[in-house]
Amino acid sequence: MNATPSLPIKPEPASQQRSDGTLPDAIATYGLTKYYGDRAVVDSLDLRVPHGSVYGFLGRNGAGKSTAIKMLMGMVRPSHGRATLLGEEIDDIRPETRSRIAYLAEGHPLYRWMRIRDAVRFTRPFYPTWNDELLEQILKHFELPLGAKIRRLSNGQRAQVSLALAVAPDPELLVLDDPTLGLDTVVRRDFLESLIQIIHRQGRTILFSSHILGDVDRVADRIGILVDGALRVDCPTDHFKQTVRKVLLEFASTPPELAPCKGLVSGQQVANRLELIFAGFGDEQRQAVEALSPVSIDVVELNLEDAFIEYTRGTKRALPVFIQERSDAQTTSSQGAA
Amino acid sequence: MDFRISTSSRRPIYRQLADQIREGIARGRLGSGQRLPSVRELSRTLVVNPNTVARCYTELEREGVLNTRQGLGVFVAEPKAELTKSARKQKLTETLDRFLTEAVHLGFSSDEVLAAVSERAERFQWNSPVSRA
Amino acid sequence: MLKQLAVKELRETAGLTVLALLAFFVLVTHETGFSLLNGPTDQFSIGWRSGTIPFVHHDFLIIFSLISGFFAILLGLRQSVWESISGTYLFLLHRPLSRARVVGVKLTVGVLLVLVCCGVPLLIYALWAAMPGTHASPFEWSMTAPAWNAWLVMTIVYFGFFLSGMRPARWYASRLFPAAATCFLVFLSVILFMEVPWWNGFVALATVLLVDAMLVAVILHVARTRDYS
Repeated sequence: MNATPSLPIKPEPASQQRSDGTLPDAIATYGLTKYYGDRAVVDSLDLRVPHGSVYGFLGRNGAGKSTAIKMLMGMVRPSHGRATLLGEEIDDIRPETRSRIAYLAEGHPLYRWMRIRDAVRFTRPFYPTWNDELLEQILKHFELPLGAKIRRLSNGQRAQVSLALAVAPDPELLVLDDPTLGLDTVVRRDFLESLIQIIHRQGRTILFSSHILGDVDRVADRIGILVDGALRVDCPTDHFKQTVRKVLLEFASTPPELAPCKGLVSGQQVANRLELIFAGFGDEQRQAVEALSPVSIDVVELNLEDAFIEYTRGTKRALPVFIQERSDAQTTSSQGAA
Repeated sequence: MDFRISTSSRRPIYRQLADQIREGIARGRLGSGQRLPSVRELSRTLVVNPNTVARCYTELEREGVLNTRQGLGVFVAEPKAELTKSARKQKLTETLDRFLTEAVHLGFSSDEVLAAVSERAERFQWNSPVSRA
Repeated sequence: MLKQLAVKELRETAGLTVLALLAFFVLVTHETGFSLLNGPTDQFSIGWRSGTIPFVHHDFLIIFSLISGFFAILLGLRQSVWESISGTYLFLLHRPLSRARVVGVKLTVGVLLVLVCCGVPLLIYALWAAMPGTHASPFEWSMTAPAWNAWLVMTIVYFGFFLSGMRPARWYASRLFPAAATCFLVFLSVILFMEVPWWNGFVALATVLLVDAMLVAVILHVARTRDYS
């Protein structure tokens, strides 16, 4: 368990230098923390979502992703820390800035008594940049008639309406809280295709949380993984995949214990085998592992889903040999989008 | 040509795509000088981030497999003899050894392997023998 | 922008409003002797309500208070709690508009609904009673005062229950506190009005406005500072 910070975090200097040198991060948080009771649901979050990137926000249920997003959108008040959206402090966002930010809340809430037409009429006047053509395109693509009652729509259709309403003002920043939750495979693919269309419009930043690692793999430039409220990973998607390695050690008899080693995420003993997960398997790690004199060493690459699972499984596995959720296992990188 | 990517594979998406382009060229499905889909088109078809497609194209361009013509698109490059004959021979030997090791482990006899090689080779577009340098 | 918000509030509360108006319709027709089948009755000599003086008899005040009270309570809750339950605050509040404005529109629509829907029937009844020849009893406008007092106090009920619905308190006793407090205030006000001579129109109005202002301030503060999940 991390030590809980009790001091307010001092604002850091301007965000990292980007390859194009000019634009600040679309989203930046500084020690953002939220307590419910004495539990830190979000623990000292230092998130950076570069302008123009697609950021996949990952974590198991209850890790704090939704709470973090709600804090960003001003729906939940942070216990400590601060954050900026499009360069403005979240507790002091100007209304005009808010009109450039789209928010798709979890469960894609809508007024069920409305027809789609009513929802459009309700939402449109708030946004001077509203693009009716774009909205019609999306609705037509998903075959959603304006006269349809929202109450009668399926979960997937409601998600699409929500997305259409969020995207029509042509926002610079889109924050999507688990937008594909509960959607079937086909609808999810449709949704992703819409996201791709949005990405094609230059200069748009997307932050989305998801449980579907395959989708994140397709679409996200960078990922962030929240574990028990703390951001343990914040790097380009490929970097994470290439860094997490599963190392299988075969022994003639009962395996020895491995001394704590840099980069070791977790380990498990299965009969005469040690299955170790490393975040970064380099010379140092190889030496440490060879020092155990195993019969064989097998270093396995993982796809994003498996890498995520192994990384976040943590201390809840059965029969652990060592229970180390190392904080230096985090692969923080200040590279820009791939 | 039809491209497929799989997110359950361990291979990064851009590498999967690069592999398929290389194989497509080798099999003759992509002719030299043929235009590939634009980054946008392909990202839409495959439903992946355009940066991933761009990265693939950039790498292949760096390797000389593709080239970009300003304003026109991305094309399959003319095959060039970049490496010396001995360097190419060495690469081929390395790949062969890997393949043969696997075949032995799988339990095949050398005749079976040679027959399989002949059969599969028919599906590829072979270059004419390089003249002695 | 504000117009869309107001229209939405009106449409969402239309059902309740219609019910309230219906109830008032029945009450007023009952009081004024309009039979739904036969039209206006000639006089009060039929025996129906003979001897009762319009406005002064307690039945009317009680029933009026009940109807308008329920309306104010349900309206206050409908506009605040419903959004919580359906999660639509997350849809409503992320707009290029200050939160005070958004909630302010709700409150404005709500309190106007209370005042109009409860006030118009009262006015109709009072006008009817004031017209000569409609009933066989004396009438003075001051007799309508207790009813107008109740009418004003309903705004407190509305704001009180809106506040109750707005507060994200986790256990119900805490949530109902504003509601209970307003009920107590209403009760107090009615008693005061009936029994205490100096509790006249202007004092009542000023007090109601003061309490309303305090409630609105608290509501806006809660709206700005609470967590929405």
